[in-house]
Amino acid sequence: MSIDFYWRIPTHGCSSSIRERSFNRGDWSPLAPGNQTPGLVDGGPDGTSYLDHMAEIARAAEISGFVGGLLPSFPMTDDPWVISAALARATKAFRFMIAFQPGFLSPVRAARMSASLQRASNGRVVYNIITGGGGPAQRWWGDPFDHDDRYGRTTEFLDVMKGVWKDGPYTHKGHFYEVENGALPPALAQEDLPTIYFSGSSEAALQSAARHADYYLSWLEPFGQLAQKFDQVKARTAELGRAIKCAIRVEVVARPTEEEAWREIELGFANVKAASRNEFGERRGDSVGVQRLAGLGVADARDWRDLIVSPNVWGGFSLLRPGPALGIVGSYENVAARLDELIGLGADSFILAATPHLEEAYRVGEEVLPLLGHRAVQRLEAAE
Amino acid sequence: MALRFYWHLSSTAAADRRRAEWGDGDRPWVPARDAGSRRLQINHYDYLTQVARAAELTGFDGIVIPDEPEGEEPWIVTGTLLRETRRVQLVTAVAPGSASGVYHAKMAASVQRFSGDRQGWLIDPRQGPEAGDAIDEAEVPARTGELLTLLDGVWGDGPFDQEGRHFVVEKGGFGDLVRGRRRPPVWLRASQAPDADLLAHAEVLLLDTGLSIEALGDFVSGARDAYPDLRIAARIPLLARAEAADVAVERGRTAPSADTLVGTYDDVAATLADLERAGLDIAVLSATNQIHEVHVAGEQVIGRVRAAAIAA
Repeated sequence: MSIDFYWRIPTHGCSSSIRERSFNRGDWSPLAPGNQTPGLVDGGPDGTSYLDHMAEIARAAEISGFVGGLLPSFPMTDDPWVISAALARATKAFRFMIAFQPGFLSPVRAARMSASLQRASNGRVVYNIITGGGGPAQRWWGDPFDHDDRYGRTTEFLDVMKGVWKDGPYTHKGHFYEVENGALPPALAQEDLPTIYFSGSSEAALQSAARHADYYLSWLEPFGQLAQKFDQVKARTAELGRAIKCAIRVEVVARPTEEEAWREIELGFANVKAASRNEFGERRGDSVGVQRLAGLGVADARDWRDLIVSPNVWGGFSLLRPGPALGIVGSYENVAARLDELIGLGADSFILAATPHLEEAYRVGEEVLPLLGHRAVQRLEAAE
Repeated sequence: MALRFYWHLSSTAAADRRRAEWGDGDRPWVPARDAGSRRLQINHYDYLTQVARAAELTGFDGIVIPDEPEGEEPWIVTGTLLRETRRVQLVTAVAPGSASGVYHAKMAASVQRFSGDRQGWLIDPRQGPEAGDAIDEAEVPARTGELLTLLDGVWGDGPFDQEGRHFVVEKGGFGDLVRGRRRPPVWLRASQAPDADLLAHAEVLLLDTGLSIEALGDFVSGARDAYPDLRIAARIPLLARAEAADVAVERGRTAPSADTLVGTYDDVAATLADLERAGLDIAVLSATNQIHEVHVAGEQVIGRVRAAAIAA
C-alpha cells in the first residue's frame, strides 16, 4: 500500500525559523530586520502579497515530491478556497487539501465551487472536513448550532453536495437543507468528487465519517494512544460499512544529527516568554483532542527536556507556534524511523510541516522521505 | 470621472464554452481527455484567464464575473484571476443564500489582500430552490440588507454582533486581516428594484433590465438624477465592426437583441459618449466569441472614446 505525503501551507504567515515565534514572513509583521513583509518595498506597495509566498511554498512542496498540502482555516487565516483557486494557476501537481466547515457554505454552492476548482486545477481538490470546535469561535463564524447538531449537519451537507454533483436533478428535504431538482451543469458534473479527510472522535463524528470519509485525520498523539484510536476508528467504521484510512498531521524538526535538531528546540524554548506559557493554559477548548494534550503540563514546564514525551517526540510545539503540542524531533534517520513506526501503527497518510515551510519542504522531501521504508513512499511519478 | 469600461466575463456563451475544454476525440483542435497526463493539460480556465488578460491589455478597467447557473462558480473564477491580472477590478457575483455572511466576508478579505483591493460585489439576491435557496420572495431584500450590514460590521476590529433572521454573528470582526483594506464596493441590480435601505449600502447601481439601446439614455439620466451619490453602470451587449457593410453582414448572421449596441466603431463610440453625457459612469460590455470581441471593444471602441475625450 502506498502512503501519501502532504505538506502544509501556512495560511497565517510563516516564520524564517522555528526558534522565533513571530510571523516574520507574510504581511503580518511590520517592515523590520528579518521580516519579509511581501508587498512593501521602500515602504510602499510593490504589487506582491503573501499569496505569492504561499505559491512558492506550494511549488517547493511539489518539486520535493509531496502530493499536495493542507490549507488550514481559522479566523485570522486567509481563505483556503481563494488561495487554492489562485494557486491552481501557479502549480502543476500540488493537491489542495481545503479545510472547511460544512456550515459555512450551502451544499449546492460547495458542489459548484469544488467542481469548478476541479476544472481549474485538473482534479487536484481534496477536502479536510472540520465540524467545528464549538464555543465562542463558532459564534464568531456566525454558526449557532451545537455539537451533535453540527455532525448531523455535516452528514446531511455531504449527502446533498454529492447528490447534486453526481445524482442530479436531486431533491432533498431534510433537517438543515432543502433542494429541489438541484444539479451541476454537465461540464462540472463530470469532475470527480474530492477525496475526504475527516476529523472528530465522538460517536456522532464516526457515524458521519463512516458514511462519507476516505481518511480519518488526527493530530499526533502519544503513539500508543494514537494506535488505539486508529484501531477503534477502523473497527467502528467497518461495523458501519466503510473501510476508512487513517492520517496524521505532524510537525517535524529534522536535522543531520540529533544534537542539531534538539538545539533548535532548546533555542525555541528559551525564546518563549512566560506570558505565552500562561496563554497556553487558558487556550483549552472543548474538543477531546485539545483536552488530551492539555494534560501534558506544557504550561508548567521550565526546561525543554521536561516535554520529551517519548523518543523523538516533543510536546511543546504549541509554545513555539499556534497548533498541536506534539511533534517529531531528531536526525533524518530517526525522524524517518518514527514515521515508519507510525505507518506500522496504522497511518496511511501524513500531513507534514516544518518551519520555514518553503526551505524545509526541500529538506524533508530530500533528506527524510527517501529514508522511509521504500514501499511506503508514494512518489509523484508513481501516482501518475 | 471619465467613462469606465468593464468586460462581462461569461463562461457559458456557445462560441466560448468549448475552448480549452476536454474532448473525446470529436474535435481535432482540443486535447483528448487523457487521465495519465491530465495534470499537465490545459483546461477551460486557460481560456477564461486569457480573456481577462486581454481585457486588461486592451484598456478595460474591470471584469464582471457573473453567476451563471450553467457556468463556472464566480468565486473560483475570481481566485484564478488574482495572480493572472494586475490592474483590472474584479466584480464577483455574490449570492447571499450560498454561504454564511461571515464566510462571504472572509473570502472577500483574502481577495482584497491578494489583489490590492480590486474586488467588488455584484449582488444576485435570490437563486431559487434548485440551488437550495428556497427563501420567500418577500424576505429577499431583508436578507441582502443583513449581509451588507454584516460585511460592514466584520470589516474592522469589532466586536460586531448581529442577531438577524438570516445571519448571526457574535463578537465578530476581522481586525488585522483587513486593516487598511477596502471593503468591496457593492453593486446592486436595477432589475431587483432595490429600496433606499439597500442603496445606502451600495456604490454602484447596475442597469440590467435589457432596455433597448434607444431607451437607455433616458434611463441613465433618470437614474443619475435619482441617485446622485451612486455610480451608474449599464450592461451593454456590443456588436461593432469597421464598416457599415460589415455591420450589416454581422447583424444578419447573429440577429442581435434590442439591447445590443450595434454599429460601426465610430457609431458605437458616439453612442457611448452620449450615454456618458447622460450620466453613465461604467459601461459593462459583453459579446460572445470573447477573445475576438474583447479586442474589438478594447482597441476600437475604448480607444476611440478615450481619444475623443483627450481631443476635447
